[in-house]
Amino acid sequence: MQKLKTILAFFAAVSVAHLLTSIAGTQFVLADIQGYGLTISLPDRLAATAHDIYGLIPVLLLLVAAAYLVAFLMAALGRRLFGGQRQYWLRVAGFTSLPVAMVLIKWVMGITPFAAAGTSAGLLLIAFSGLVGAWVFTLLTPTGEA
Amino acid sequence: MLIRIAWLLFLCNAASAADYKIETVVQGLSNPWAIVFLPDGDLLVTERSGQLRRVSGGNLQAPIKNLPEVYAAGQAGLFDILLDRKFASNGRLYLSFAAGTADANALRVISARLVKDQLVDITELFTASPYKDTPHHFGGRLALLPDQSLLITVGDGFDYRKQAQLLDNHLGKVIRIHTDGTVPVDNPFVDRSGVLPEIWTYGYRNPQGLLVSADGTVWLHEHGPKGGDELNRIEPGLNYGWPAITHGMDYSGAYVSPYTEAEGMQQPVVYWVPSIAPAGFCEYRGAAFPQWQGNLFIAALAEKSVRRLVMKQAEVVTQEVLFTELGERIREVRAGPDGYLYLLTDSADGQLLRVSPAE
Repeated sequence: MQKLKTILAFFAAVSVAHLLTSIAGTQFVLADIQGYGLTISLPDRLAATAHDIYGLIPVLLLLVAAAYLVAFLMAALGRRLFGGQRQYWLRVAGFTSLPVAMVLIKWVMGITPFAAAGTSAGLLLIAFSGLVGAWVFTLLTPTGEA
Repeated sequence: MLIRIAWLLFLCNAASAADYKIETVVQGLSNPWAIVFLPDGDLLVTERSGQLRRVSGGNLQAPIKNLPEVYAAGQAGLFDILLDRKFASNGRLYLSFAAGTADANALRVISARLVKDQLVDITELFTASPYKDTPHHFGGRLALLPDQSLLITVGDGFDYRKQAQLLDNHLGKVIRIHTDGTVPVDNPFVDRSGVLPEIWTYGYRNPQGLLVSADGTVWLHEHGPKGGDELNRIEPGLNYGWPAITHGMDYSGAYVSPYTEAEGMQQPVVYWVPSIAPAGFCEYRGAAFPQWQGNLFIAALAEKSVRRLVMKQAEVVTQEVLFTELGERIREVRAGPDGYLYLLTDSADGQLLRVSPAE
């Protein structure tokens, strides 16, 4: 039962991080487009945001899941080695997981896979999205092992 | 309806395949990129890894000596080659390539003279600004306008796509310079403050096809992201939209832009979704295939084909998909002085192929 709860909490955390990262990414892209002189109506903004949340599922959702899996395991290892409170380790892991994943992809492939990650502000917003997802995970698994 | 279209395409291909034969001229080329035909009947082929090779009598010769250092990685390397219109008397040619390092690289264009099998009198004509840290989207195609000025396509550098709409840099632009590297005084932005004077047109992603047709029309094709490859008829000073408008989608699945049109931004003559990955480009004016007279040919990497475009008053009337039977990514298509089509296949063991009429 505890394992199932942890798995469900993990998927909830991944979904929240995906949702926030996607929303943030779309706003960055739309801000650029406004910068080119185009006007973006509220219905266009909402439609684009919804489109990207759905469109990014095959790539971003899997990327977040993989990044969280590695980061949370590192957090568990860190806690075992150095002690400290579980939720702090997990939140730091969540905060750093997505920027590290983006930087690693850039290092391996030479390109930034997610447009918003190309700026410091975008990377910071992505980091906070990861933090919120991890925070959701700690809320849903207050006594978990991970 | 779809079955009918597929059947028509099949018939079209079948009819064409019966009309031509394809022969291998040379193989063993390392990701060949571009061809030029020399007045003596030989060919020069660029290899992305940084070599320039002569093909003489159907044999591949040793690399031409004294090429500048090329940054070769990812999509970066040696790109296009173009002969000066007076090559027969002055031996001058133009080369585009990626210069620099992984952390700081840029498209560069040089002129040089070919003397026997080495380059001499090498002069740097242009280096795109700013340097970038991605090995992608260099553009790199060259063409001469009737007034002898040189057009150069520059890609957006992938991570730098915003720069394609900004006029203080060379990324995502077509550049026009004289063949001595100076800027023509009639370039469209020479008098505008804060704008680089070499810019001729802008708003491109990765333009790898550039052609000045016999009637003087300038054609450009460019790679879109996931979909949205474009053929554009370009005119000085105009904005071709990337990344503000596009028919393509980001590889991540997100929008690059939710818009496909906007005021002040030009629409493509034709676009392709899904992507065909257009690379080489030529206009056919030979005698060997009279039925292809005046058609445009576009090499397509992803589609593993050559697209034949039948034009009428600068509009595409019909398209035919050719040479899919090869099953090869095709990087370059050129019409030779003998009237035959020449193709380069894109692989580490690339081939130079000749398409001639069937016996």
